[in-house]
Amino acid sequence: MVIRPIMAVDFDLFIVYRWLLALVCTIYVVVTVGQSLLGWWIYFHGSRYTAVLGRYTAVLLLRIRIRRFAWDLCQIVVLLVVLGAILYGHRFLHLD
Amino acid sequence: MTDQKQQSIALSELPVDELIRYGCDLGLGLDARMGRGEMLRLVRQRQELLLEIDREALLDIVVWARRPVRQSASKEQLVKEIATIGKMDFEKLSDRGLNAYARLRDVPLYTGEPRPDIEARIRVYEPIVDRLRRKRRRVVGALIGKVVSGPKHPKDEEYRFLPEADGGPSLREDISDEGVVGGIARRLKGAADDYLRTKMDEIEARIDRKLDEIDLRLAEWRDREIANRLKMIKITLVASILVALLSLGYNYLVRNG
Repeated sequence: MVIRPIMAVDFDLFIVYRWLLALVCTIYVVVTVGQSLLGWWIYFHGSRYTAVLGRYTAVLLLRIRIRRFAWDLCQIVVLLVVLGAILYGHRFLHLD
Repeated sequence: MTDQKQQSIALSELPVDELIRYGCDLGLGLDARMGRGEMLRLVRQRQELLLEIDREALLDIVVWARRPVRQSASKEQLVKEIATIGKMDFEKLSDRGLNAYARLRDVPLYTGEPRPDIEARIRVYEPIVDRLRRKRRRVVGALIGKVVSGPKHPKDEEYRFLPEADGGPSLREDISDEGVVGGIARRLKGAADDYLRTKMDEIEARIDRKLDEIDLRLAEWRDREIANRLKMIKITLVASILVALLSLGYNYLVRNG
Protein backbone atom coordinates (compact mmCIF):
# COMPACT_ATOMS: atom_id res chain seq x y z
CA MET A 1 0.00 0.00 0.00
CA VAL A 2 1.39 3.38 -1.07
CA ILE A 3 0.57 6.41 1.04
CA ARG A 4 0.49 9.69 -0.90
CA PRO A 5 -0.02 13.14 0.54
CA ILE A 6 -3.48 14.56 -0.31
CA MET A 7 -2.12 17.72 -2.04
CA ALA A 8 0.01 15.62 -4.33
CA VAL A 9 -3.11 14.20 -5.95
CA ASP A 10 -4.29 16.41 -8.87
CA PHE A 11 -2.43 19.42 -7.57
CA ASP A 12 -2.67 22.31 -10.02
CA LEU A 13 -0.80 25.50 -9.28
CA PHE A 14 -3.08 27.67 -11.37
CA ILE A 15 -6.28 26.31 -9.85
CA VAL A 16 -4.94 27.06 -6.38
CA TYR A 17 -3.81 30.49 -7.56
CA ARG A 18 -7.19 31.23 -9.10
CA TRP A 19 -9.12 30.17 -6.02
CA LEU A 20 -6.81 32.06 -3.72
CA LEU A 21 -6.96 35.17 -5.88
CA ALA A 22 -10.74 35.02 -6.16
CA LEU A 23 -11.11 34.53 -2.42
CA VAL A 24 -8.72 37.31 -1.42
CA CYS A 25 -10.05 39.75 -4.02
CA THR A 26 -13.70 39.09 -3.15
CA ILE A 27 -13.14 39.58 0.58
CA TYR A 28 -11.03 42.67 -0.06
CA VAL A 29 -13.62 44.20 -2.42
CA VAL A 30 -16.56 43.47 -0.10
CA VAL A 31 -14.79 44.89 2.94
CA THR A 32 -13.43 47.97 1.16
CA VAL A 33 -16.66 48.83 -0.64
CA GLY A 34 -18.70 48.21 2.51
CA GLN A 35 -16.43 50.44 4.58
CA SER A 36 -16.51 53.17 1.97
CA LEU A 37 -20.29 53.08 1.55
CA LEU A 38 -20.82 53.05 5.30
CA GLY A 39 -18.46 56.01 5.67
CA TRP A 40 -20.29 58.04 3.03
CA TRP A 41 -23.68 57.05 4.47
CA ILE A 42 -22.69 58.26 7.92
CA TYR A 43 -21.18 61.45 6.49
CA PHE A 44 -24.24 62.31 4.36
CA HIS A 45 -26.60 61.72 7.27
CA GLY A 46 -24.48 63.67 9.73
CA SER A 47 -26.28 67.00 9.48
CA ARG A 48 -28.81 68.93 7.44
CA TYR A 49 -26.06 70.50 5.32
CA THR A 50 -24.28 67.25 4.53
CA ALA A 51 -27.69 65.74 3.65
CA VAL A 52 -28.06 68.44 0.98
CA LEU A 53 -24.54 67.62 -0.18
CA GLY A 54 -25.56 63.97 -0.39
CA ARG A 55 -28.52 64.81 -2.58
CA TYR A 56 -26.34 66.94 -4.81
CA THR A 57 -23.86 64.07 -5.09
CA ALA A 58 -26.68 61.73 -6.10
CA VAL A 59 -27.74 64.19 -8.80
CA LEU A 60 -24.13 64.59 -9.93
CA LEU A 61 -23.82 60.82 -10.28
CA LEU A 62 -27.11 60.54 -12.14
CA ARG A 63 -25.91 63.17 -14.60
CA ILE A 64 -22.96 61.06 -15.77
CA ARG A 65 -22.78 60.92 -19.54
CA ILE A 66 -22.18 57.29 -20.43
CA ARG A 67 -21.29 58.30 -23.99
CA ARG A 68 -18.19 60.06 -22.70
CA PHE A 69 -16.82 56.76 -21.44
CA ALA A 70 -18.11 54.70 -24.36
CA TRP A 71 -14.63 53.94 -25.72
CA ASP A 72 -13.31 52.80 -22.31
CA LEU A 73 -16.42 50.69 -21.72
CA CYS A 74 -16.03 49.11 -25.18
CA GLN A 75 -12.43 48.22 -24.37
CA ILE A 76 -13.54 46.66 -21.08
CA VAL A 77 -16.21 44.62 -22.85
CA VAL A 78 -13.65 43.39 -25.42
CA LEU A 79 -11.18 42.49 -22.67
CA LEU A 80 -13.92 40.62 -20.82
CA VAL A 81 -14.81 38.70 -23.97
CA VAL A 82 -11.15 37.81 -24.51
CA LEU A 83 -10.82 36.71 -20.88
CA GLY A 84 -14.00 34.64 -21.16
CA ALA A 85 -12.75 33.01 -24.35
CA ILE A 86 -9.40 32.10 -22.76
CA LEU A 87 -11.11 30.69 -19.67
CA TYR A 88 -13.48 28.75 -21.91
CA GLY A 89 -10.44 27.48 -23.82
CA HIS A 90 -9.26 25.70 -20.66
CA ARG A 91 -12.16 23.26 -21.07
CA PHE A 92 -10.73 21.83 -24.26
CA LEU A 93 -7.52 20.88 -22.47
CA HIS A 94 -9.42 18.87 -19.87
CA LEU A 95 -11.53 16.95 -22.40
CA ASP A 96 -10.28 13.49 -23.08
CA MET B 1 -41.90 92.09 -49.62
CA THR B 2 -38.83 94.32 -49.10
CA ASP B 3 -38.54 93.03 -45.52
CA GLN B 4 -38.66 89.46 -46.77
CA LYS B 5 -35.95 90.22 -49.33
CA GLN B 6 -33.75 91.86 -46.67
CA GLN B 7 -34.31 88.92 -44.34
CA SER B 8 -33.37 86.54 -47.12
CA ILE B 9 -30.15 88.45 -47.81
CA ALA B 10 -29.33 88.57 -44.08
CA LEU B 11 -29.92 84.84 -43.85
CA SER B 12 -27.61 84.04 -46.72
CA GLU B 13 -24.90 86.20 -45.14
CA LEU B 14 -24.99 84.35 -41.83
CA PRO B 15 -21.89 82.30 -40.97
CA VAL B 16 -22.47 78.53 -40.98
CA ASP B 17 -22.39 78.10 -37.19
CA GLU B 18 -24.96 80.86 -36.69
CA LEU B 19 -27.09 79.43 -39.46
CA ILE B 20 -27.02 76.04 -37.74
CA ARG B 21 -27.94 77.64 -34.41
CA TYR B 22 -30.78 79.59 -36.04
CA GLY B 23 -32.01 76.41 -37.73
CA CYS B 24 -31.90 74.55 -34.41
CA ASP B 25 -33.92 77.36 -32.83
CA LEU B 26 -36.52 76.76 -35.52
CA GLY B 27 -36.59 73.06 -34.67
CA LEU B 28 -34.45 71.89 -37.58
CA GLY B 29 -31.69 69.35 -37.16
CA LEU B 30 -29.02 71.06 -39.26
CA ASP B 31 -25.56 69.68 -39.76
CA ALA B 32 -22.46 71.41 -41.14
CA ARG B 33 -22.01 68.49 -43.56
CA MET B 34 -25.34 69.32 -45.24
CA GLY B 35 -23.87 72.17 -47.20
CA ARG B 36 -24.82 75.80 -46.98
CA GLY B 37 -27.35 75.72 -49.83
CA GLU B 38 -29.30 72.83 -48.33
CA MET B 39 -29.32 74.49 -44.91
CA LEU B 40 -30.61 77.75 -46.38
CA ARG B 41 -33.32 75.87 -48.25
CA LEU B 42 -34.49 74.11 -45.10
CA VAL B 43 -34.48 77.32 -43.05
CA ARG B 44 -36.52 79.15 -45.68
CA GLN B 45 -38.91 76.24 -45.94
CA ARG B 46 -39.37 76.37 -42.17
CA GLN B 47 -39.93 80.14 -42.29
CA GLU B 48 -42.63 79.62 -44.90
CA LEU B 49 -44.23 76.97 -42.71
CA LEU B 50 -44.23 79.40 -39.81
CA LEU B 51 -46.08 81.93 -41.94
CA GLU B 52 -48.75 79.30 -42.61
CA ILE B 53 -49.15 78.11 -39.03
CA ASP B 54 -51.52 80.04 -36.81
CA ARG B 55 -49.86 81.74 -33.81
CA GLU B 56 -52.69 80.63 -31.53
CA ALA B 57 -51.91 77.01 -32.41
CA LEU B 58 -48.30 77.56 -31.32
CA LEU B 59 -49.52 79.13 -28.08
CA ASP B 60 -51.70 76.05 -27.52
CA ILE B 61 -48.60 73.88 -27.78
CA VAL B 62 -46.54 75.88 -25.25
CA VAL B 63 -49.50 75.98 -22.86
CA TRP B 64 -49.90 72.21 -23.24
CA ALA B 65 -46.20 71.66 -22.56
CA ARG B 66 -46.34 74.33 -19.81
CA ARG B 67 -43.37 76.24 -21.15
CA PRO B 68 -42.75 79.71 -19.68
CA VAL B 69 -43.42 82.25 -22.44
CA ARG B 70 -44.99 85.66 -22.77
CA GLN B 71 -48.35 85.83 -24.48
CA SER B 72 -46.88 88.38 -26.87
CA ALA B 73 -43.96 86.09 -27.85
CA SER B 74 -43.19 85.98 -31.55
CA LYS B 75 -43.70 82.85 -33.64
CA GLU B 76 -39.96 82.23 -33.77
CA GLN B 77 -39.67 82.44 -29.99
CA LEU B 78 -42.55 80.02 -29.63
CA VAL B 79 -41.03 77.61 -32.15
CA LYS B 80 -37.69 77.80 -30.33
CA GLU B 81 -39.48 76.72 -27.17
CA ILE B 82 -41.49 74.05 -29.01
CA ALA B 83 -38.30 72.60 -30.52
CA THR B 84 -37.21 71.52 -27.04
CA ILE B 85 -40.47 69.72 -26.22
CA GLY B 86 -40.17 65.96 -26.10
CA LYS B 87 -43.60 65.24 -24.65
CA MET B 88 -45.69 62.55 -26.36
CA ASP B 89 -48.81 62.64 -24.23
CA PHE B 90 -51.23 64.66 -26.40
CA GLU B 91 -54.29 64.31 -24.23
CA LYS B 92 -54.60 67.99 -23.33
CA LEU B 93 -53.41 69.43 -26.64
CA SER B 94 -56.01 71.10 -28.85
CA ASP B 95 -56.63 69.84 -32.40
CA ARG B 96 -55.06 72.88 -34.05
CA GLY B 97 -52.11 72.57 -31.67
CA LEU B 98 -51.72 68.90 -32.58
CA ASN B 99 -51.78 69.71 -36.30
CA ALA B 100 -49.19 72.46 -35.85
CA TYR B 101 -47.02 70.17 -33.72
CA ALA B 102 -47.16 67.47 -36.40
CA ARG B 103 -46.24 69.92 -39.15
CA LEU B 104 -43.31 71.28 -37.15
CA ARG B 105 -42.07 67.71 -36.72
CA ASP B 106 -42.38 67.11 -40.50
CA VAL B 107 -45.09 64.53 -39.93
CA PRO B 108 -47.39 64.23 -42.99
CA LEU B 109 -51.06 65.10 -42.41
CA TYR B 110 -54.07 64.02 -44.43
CA THR B 111 -57.41 65.82 -44.59
CA GLY B 112 -60.15 64.47 -42.36
CA GLU B 113 -57.77 62.21 -40.52
CA PRO B 114 -58.91 61.18 -37.00
CA ARG B 115 -56.92 62.54 -34.09
CA PRO B 116 -55.64 59.17 -32.75
CA ASP B 117 -54.05 58.46 -36.17
CA ILE B 118 -52.17 61.76 -36.10
CA GLU B 119 -50.98 61.09 -32.56
CA ALA B 120 -49.83 57.61 -33.53
CA ARG B 121 -47.97 58.94 -36.56
CA ILE B 122 -46.20 61.60 -34.50
CA ARG B 123 -45.02 58.83 -32.18
CA VAL B 124 -43.87 56.75 -35.14
CA TYR B 125 -41.92 59.69 -36.57
CA GLU B 126 -40.14 60.30 -33.28
CA PRO B 127 -36.48 59.34 -33.79
CA ILE B 128 -35.49 56.23 -31.86
CA VAL B 129 -32.69 58.14 -30.12
CA ASP B 130 -35.20 60.72 -28.87
CA ARG B 131 -37.54 57.95 -27.74
CA LEU B 132 -34.78 56.24 -25.80
CA ARG B 133 -33.65 59.57 -24.34
CA ARG B 134 -37.23 60.34 -23.27
CA LYS B 135 -37.55 56.98 -21.55
CA ARG B 136 -34.15 57.35 -19.91
CA ARG B 137 -35.08 60.83 -18.68
CA ARG B 138 -38.34 59.50 -17.29
CA VAL B 139 -36.43 56.92 -15.25
CA VAL B 140 -33.82 59.48 -14.16
CA GLY B 141 -36.59 61.94 -13.34
CA ALA B 142 -38.33 59.37 -11.18
CA LEU B 143 -35.06 58.63 -9.38
CA ILE B 144 -34.16 62.29 -8.85
CA GLY B 145 -37.74 62.99 -7.80
CA LYS B 146 -37.32 60.44 -5.04
CA VAL B 147 -33.98 61.86 -3.91
CA VAL B 148 -34.72 65.57 -4.25
CA SER B 149 -38.18 66.45 -3.02
CA GLY B 150 -39.18 69.71 -4.67
CA PRO B 151 -42.29 71.82 -4.04
CA LYS B 152 -45.48 70.03 -5.03
CA HIS B 153 -47.73 71.71 -7.59
CA PRO B 154 -51.32 70.75 -8.14
CA LYS B 155 -51.57 68.78 -11.40
CA ASP B 156 -54.38 70.74 -12.99
CA GLU B 157 -53.19 74.21 -12.03
CA GLU B 158 -54.11 76.66 -14.76
CA TYR B 159 -51.24 77.75 -17.00
CA ARG B 160 -50.16 81.37 -16.67
CA PHE B 161 -48.10 83.27 -19.22
CA LEU B 162 -45.02 85.20 -18.12
CA PRO B 163 -45.70 88.89 -17.33
CA GLU B 164 -45.06 91.26 -20.19
CA ALA B 165 -41.81 93.24 -20.06
CA ASP B 166 -43.11 96.70 -20.85
CA GLY B 167 -46.01 97.21 -18.49
CA GLY B 168 -46.95 99.91 -15.97
CA PRO B 169 -48.45 103.34 -16.25
CA SER B 170 -46.55 106.39 -17.57
CA LEU B 171 -45.49 109.38 -15.44
CA ARG B 172 -48.35 111.34 -16.90
CA GLU B 173 -50.84 108.70 -15.78
CA ASP B 174 -49.21 108.52 -12.34
CA ILE B 175 -49.52 112.30 -11.88
CA SER B 176 -53.09 112.35 -13.11
CA ASP B 177 -53.93 109.51 -10.71
CA GLU B 178 -52.06 110.60 -7.57
CA GLY B 179 -51.12 114.28 -8.05
CA VAL B 180 -47.68 115.81 -8.74
CA VAL B 181 -45.93 114.81 -5.48
CA GLY B 182 -47.56 111.39 -5.25
CA GLY B 183 -46.94 110.67 -8.94
CA ILE B 184 -43.27 111.73 -8.83
CA ALA B 185 -42.77 109.85 -5.52
CA ARG B 186 -44.25 106.76 -7.06
CA ARG B 187 -42.02 107.18 -10.09
CA LEU B 188 -38.93 107.65 -7.86
CA LYS B 189 -39.92 104.64 -5.80
CA GLY B 190 -40.33 102.72 -9.03
CA ALA B 191 -36.86 103.86 -10.18
CA ALA B 192 -35.35 102.82 -6.81
CA ASP B 193 -37.13 99.48 -7.06
CA ASP B 194 -35.81 99.03 -10.58
CA TYR B 195 -32.29 99.87 -9.44
CA LEU B 196 -32.51 97.42 -6.56
CA ARG B 197 -34.00 94.77 -8.80
CA THR B 198 -31.20 95.23 -11.32
CA LYS B 199 -28.57 95.00 -8.60
CA MET B 200 -30.21 91.94 -7.09
CA ASP B 201 -30.34 90.36 -10.54
CA GLU B 202 -26.64 91.11 -11.03
CA ILE B 203 -25.77 89.53 -7.67
CA GLU B 204 -27.96 86.55 -8.44
CA ALA B 205 -26.36 86.16 -11.85
CA ARG B 206 -22.89 86.33 -10.25
CA ILE B 207 -23.84 83.68 -7.69
CA ASP B 208 -25.34 81.52 -10.45
CA ARG B 209 -22.16 81.86 -12.50
CA LYS B 210 -20.07 80.84 -9.50
CA LEU B 211 -22.33 77.87 -8.76
CA ASP B 212 -22.18 76.81 -12.41
CA GLU B 213 -18.40 77.03 -12.28
CA ILE B 214 -18.30 74.87 -9.13
CA ASP B 215 -20.72 72.43 -10.72
CA LEU B 216 -18.57 72.23 -13.85
CA ARG B 217 -15.40 71.62 -11.82
CA LEU B 218 -17.10 68.92 -9.77
CA ALA B 219 -18.38 67.27 -12.95
CA GLU B 220 -14.85 67.36 -14.40
CA TRP B 221 -13.46 65.85 -11.20
CA ARG B 222 -16.15 63.15 -11.28
CA ASP B 223 -15.33 62.31 -14.91
CA ARG B 224 -11.62 62.18 -14.12
CA GLU B 225 -12.27 59.84 -11.21
CA ILE B 226 -14.45 57.56 -13.32
CA ALA B 227 -11.83 57.52 -16.08
CA ASN B 228 -9.19 56.52 -13.51
CA ARG B 229 -11.38 53.72 -12.16
CA LEU B 230 -12.04 52.44 -15.67
CA LYS B 231 -8.30 52.54 -16.37
CA MET B 232 -7.68 50.44 -13.27
CA ILE B 233 -10.34 47.95 -14.36
CA LYS B 234 -8.66 47.69 -17.76
CA ILE B 235 -5.23 47.11 -16.20
CA THR B 236 -6.70 44.42 -13.95
CA LEU B 237 -8.37 42.76 -16.92
CA VAL B 238 -5.16 42.83 -18.97
CA ALA B 239 -3.29 41.28 -16.04
CA SER B 240 -6.01 38.63 -15.70
CA ILE B 241 -5.80 37.84 -19.42
CA LEU B 242 -2.02 37.44 -19.19
CA VAL B 243 -2.37 35.10 -16.22
CA ALA B 244 -5.13 33.16 -18.01
CA LEU B 245 -2.87 32.82 -21.06
CA LEU B 246 -0.06 31.59 -18.85
CA SER B 247 -2.45 29.13 -17.26
CA LEU B 248 -3.56 27.95 -20.68
CA GLY B 249 0.04 27.43 -21.81
CA TYR B 250 0.92 25.69 -18.55
CA ASN B 251 -2.06 23.35 -18.86
CA TYR B 252 -1.18 22.61 -22.44
CA LEU B 253 2.40 21.74 -21.47
CA VAL B 254 1.24 19.56 -18.56
CA ARG B 255 -1.19 17.66 -20.81
CA ASN B 256 1.19 17.19 -23.72
CA GLY B 257 4.55 17.24 -21.91
